[in-house]
Amino acid sequence: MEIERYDTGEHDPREEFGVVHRAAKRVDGVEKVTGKARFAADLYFDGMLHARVLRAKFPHARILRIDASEAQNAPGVVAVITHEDVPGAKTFGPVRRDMPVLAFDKTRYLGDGVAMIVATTLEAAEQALELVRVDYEELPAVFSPEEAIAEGAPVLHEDAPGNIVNHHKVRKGDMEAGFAASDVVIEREYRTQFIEHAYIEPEAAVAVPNPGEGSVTVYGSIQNPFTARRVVAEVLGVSLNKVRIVQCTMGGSFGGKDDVMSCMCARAALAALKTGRPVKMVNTREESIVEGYKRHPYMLKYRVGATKDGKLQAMEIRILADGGAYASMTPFVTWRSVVQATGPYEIPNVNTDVHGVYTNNTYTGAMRGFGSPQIIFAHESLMDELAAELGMDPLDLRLKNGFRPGSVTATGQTLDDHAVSLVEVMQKAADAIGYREKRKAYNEAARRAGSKKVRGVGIAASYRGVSLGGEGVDATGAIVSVQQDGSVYVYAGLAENGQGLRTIFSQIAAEELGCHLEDVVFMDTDTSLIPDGGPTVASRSTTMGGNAVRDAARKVREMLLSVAGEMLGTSCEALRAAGGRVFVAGRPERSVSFADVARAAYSRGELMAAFGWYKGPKVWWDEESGQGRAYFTYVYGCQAAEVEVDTETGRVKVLKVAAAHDVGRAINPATVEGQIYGGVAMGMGYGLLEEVEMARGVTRTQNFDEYLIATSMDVPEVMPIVVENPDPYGPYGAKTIGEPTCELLAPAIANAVCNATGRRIRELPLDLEKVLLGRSLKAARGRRGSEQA
Amino acid sequence: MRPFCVTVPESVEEAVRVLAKWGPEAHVIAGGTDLLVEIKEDRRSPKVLVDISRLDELRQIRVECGVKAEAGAETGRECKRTDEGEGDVVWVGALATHAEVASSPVVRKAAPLLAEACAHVGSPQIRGRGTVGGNISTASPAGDVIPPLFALEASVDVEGPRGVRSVDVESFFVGPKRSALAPGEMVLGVRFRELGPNHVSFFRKLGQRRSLAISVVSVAFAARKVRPDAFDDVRIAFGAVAPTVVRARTVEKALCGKRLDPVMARQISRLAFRDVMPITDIRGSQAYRQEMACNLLYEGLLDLLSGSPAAGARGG
Repeated sequence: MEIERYDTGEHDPREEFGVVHRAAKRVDGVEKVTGKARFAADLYFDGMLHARVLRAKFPHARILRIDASEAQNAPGVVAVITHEDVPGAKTFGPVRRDMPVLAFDKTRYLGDGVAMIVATTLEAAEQALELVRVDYEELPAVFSPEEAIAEGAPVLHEDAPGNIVNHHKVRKGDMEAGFAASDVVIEREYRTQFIEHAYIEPEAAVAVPNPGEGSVTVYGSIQNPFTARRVVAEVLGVSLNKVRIVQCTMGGSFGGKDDVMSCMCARAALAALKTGRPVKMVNTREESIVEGYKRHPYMLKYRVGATKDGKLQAMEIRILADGGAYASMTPFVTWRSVVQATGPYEIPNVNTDVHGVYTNNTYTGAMRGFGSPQIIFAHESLMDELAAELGMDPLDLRLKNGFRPGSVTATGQTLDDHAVSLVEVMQKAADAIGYREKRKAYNEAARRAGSKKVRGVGIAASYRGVSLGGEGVDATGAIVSVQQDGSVYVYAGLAENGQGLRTIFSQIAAEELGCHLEDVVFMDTDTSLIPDGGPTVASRSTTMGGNAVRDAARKVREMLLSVAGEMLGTSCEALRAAGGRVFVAGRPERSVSFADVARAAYSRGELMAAFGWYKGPKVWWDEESGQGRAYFTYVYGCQAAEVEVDTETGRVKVLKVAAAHDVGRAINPATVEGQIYGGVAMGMGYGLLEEVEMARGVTRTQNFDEYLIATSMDVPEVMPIVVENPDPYGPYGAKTIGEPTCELLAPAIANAVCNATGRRIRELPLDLEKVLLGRSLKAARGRRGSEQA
Repeated sequence: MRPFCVTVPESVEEAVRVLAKWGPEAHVIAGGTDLLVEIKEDRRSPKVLVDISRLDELRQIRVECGVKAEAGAETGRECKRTDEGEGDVVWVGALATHAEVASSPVVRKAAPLLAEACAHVGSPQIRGRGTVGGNISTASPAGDVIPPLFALEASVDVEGPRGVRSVDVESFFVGPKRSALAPGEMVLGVRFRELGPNHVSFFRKLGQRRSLAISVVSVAFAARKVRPDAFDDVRIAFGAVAPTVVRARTVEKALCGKRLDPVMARQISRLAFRDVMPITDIRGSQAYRQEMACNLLYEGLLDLLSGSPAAGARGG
């Protein structure tokens, strides 16, 4: 298949801007820090009911009978809802429709909902849960991908024999020749853990029946309002225009409020339509951790060959991903993994297989990083291990093989239409941490001195495809509406999840219109007001949504400039708009205020709003060979860590982190740095602390006393290094920052720990026991739920 | 969570009356940092909560001059103190919060290891609400306040229907989350003799992270320095390595009077193996905890020997 040529869009060569490319205060900051922001759990409607969910008793069981009669008659109970009350589709799912809104044939993990109690108070609903009688036939279950794919293993879904969710491959070159040309071949195995998003606000939604049959509005902590709308409509068996989803202020999401919120919205909507009253649902933290999907644990086997001077020749990769009970985003998460699995290195011969596998663990899906943190932990550990084998410095090995302009990726994509800045970010991060000097100083001699505290430095690098790539339709819209006094509304099909989208989109609208940022108000996302713009995922908001806002604002500006041209007696080509005024280029004294132009346009009856749309550049993918233009552009990042290891206890103290990320162009440099700080904290948790422990399908870490995220006491000094090489596609050259920031630190820490102690740890997290003993003794008891009864 | 009533007594006598009347159906609440979680998770369902937070006399931290300490915990200690009976007795009320104890000049002078332990409980919010009495009553083997009290040979004052009694701290804890409190009894406070001018002490805690972490292992140490490299009156207690906090008597005995260098300190610290019997749980394995009991003690001893400013007491 020939690579299609397409329009590369407009590259803005400007370096001077009015509103973008400047640190701006978050437009939603004050309401959040003063506690005035309204979250879904704060909503109240007259006559509102409360619903609670009865969860599965066994991780794998056939449901024989549900008897709700006693619960039905309990005080305060208005309705008991089971799968029999579902008028439309009983199952949903983004790729495979395999997840029940309420379990009907089987339970497949302990977070499954079996029945719902709707009552006048939360307490009444809670108490009636115990009165629902469910007869189960317990079925044999599988708790690790290895068990799940073993011959004769119990099958979770009848249409998925062997418990395989999906299989992605990459086939490039000639593996035999590649390994034959290698002087050194090493084979290593790595493992990663279940990770919880740990958003501060657990899931919450309120469904309100609308006048008119079968119509409902759902307010909630919803990452992707259009996805939720589709699921609610399908479950209710109504058309999309009967369901309105309004996103409330989000207390974090990190990819986590997608499927689980679609399910909660559908349940609340079912209850609202059945009772004819508003119904509120709020998960407790424990429910949130048990029900909500996780980041996938991966088992990764890498085999790599290189010549003795360090040129990579071949890489063979085998990955099993624990998908848990339902497919959710596993096919897409593992697709990003298969594309990026080699890391940002030129390798002529690559053979990769990634399988997503069903188990009776909590299901896994989208989480910040989306299939990258696992593979980066593996390939960046591997690069250090290979360097040790070759007697090379790990940074030199990376520099020798790293992508440069014109490099060809494992999937056959030539990187020739954007700035390939891998070498730049690696060098900047390494310099900032003092990698070369420290790496030498913290060598083995220092270890032999017998000090209790030993130090080390390590780095990790990545490349990352921007936006959805081959996952699917990549387009989104926005509305910019100027009012007669010059104030502005912005609506967008993508949603604020805490990442700063409102501010970025407002900045872009103000930049294009020439008004002040303070004159722009970003409206909450409401599915009834704007066309479906796809999900707010894949760090795509600024690139995709930013272009849509820009498109809309430009259309309005064109109209406003023609009005201003008449007012100033000049052609609109000669006019510029900036700083709240429209003026003649080069003659700023000939100007009118933005508000006056708006008033004039209004009095002339002009259309003062416009719709903007942006469709991403073409990508393509061949499933069989795993070759194609997977993403239209990429970002490059490198993080370096300096650590101190206490050899008496295994405690790792991260002393300093340097994080260099090419963002194309920083629309709001303050937000970019904020993303880096947050991503580093998350990456540190992934590396050292966090793990959802599951024992035979039972989540043992159900709250934050046992699921440990990094506190402000743990997070070290972070040096953000914002690299800007404007991209041809993004608005003003902007690309992506959200996800790359959290995918790099775990391997950088593992490499630094190895530099300090000489001990290589191939399994996350690097908790006290693993660092001290090289393995976790506590995990030997019931590791990843794979223990035998 | 089950519904419950709350009563707010104006005096200890009234509190004890309510406790006696309701028996196991009643539960004392002060900061509530443990109890409310247990109630929410249905691990406890008291009918009556006795909120003692207005009993200001239990909030005091005071020096009880001239009062002789109870000699209850003397048994089992090999080297006798020569300054027996000297030094003031300090009383810390049950309602004193961790934050108050951590910053109390009295405690910081008399028992720096206790101040340090309190400074490393939970988070600032928990230290602001959680109380010494609550930490003791909960009787978790991982409770950070308890090992220092063992090392101080403190006694626990309790009041119940039959009046006030004093229980030595080692007898107070009878199992994981089980104390010697009889039905109707509540903790009034703890008392201990201040450490002498030649005494040194430390508290160390190992958690998975630097703050807001339940101890994987903790150790409290108090002893009198008789030479720059030797101690007597050695009292060591470990947390989170047995069903209750435990004294490390094998180690204490071995350390007493011995001149220490790093090699000797290491050897003697290894004896802690004999004094602890940890379990494997979500925070750490048995083998790792055994190892850590030895290593934490060794690190602390080394710092004392080197006169490092970090000695004294430290956690986190």
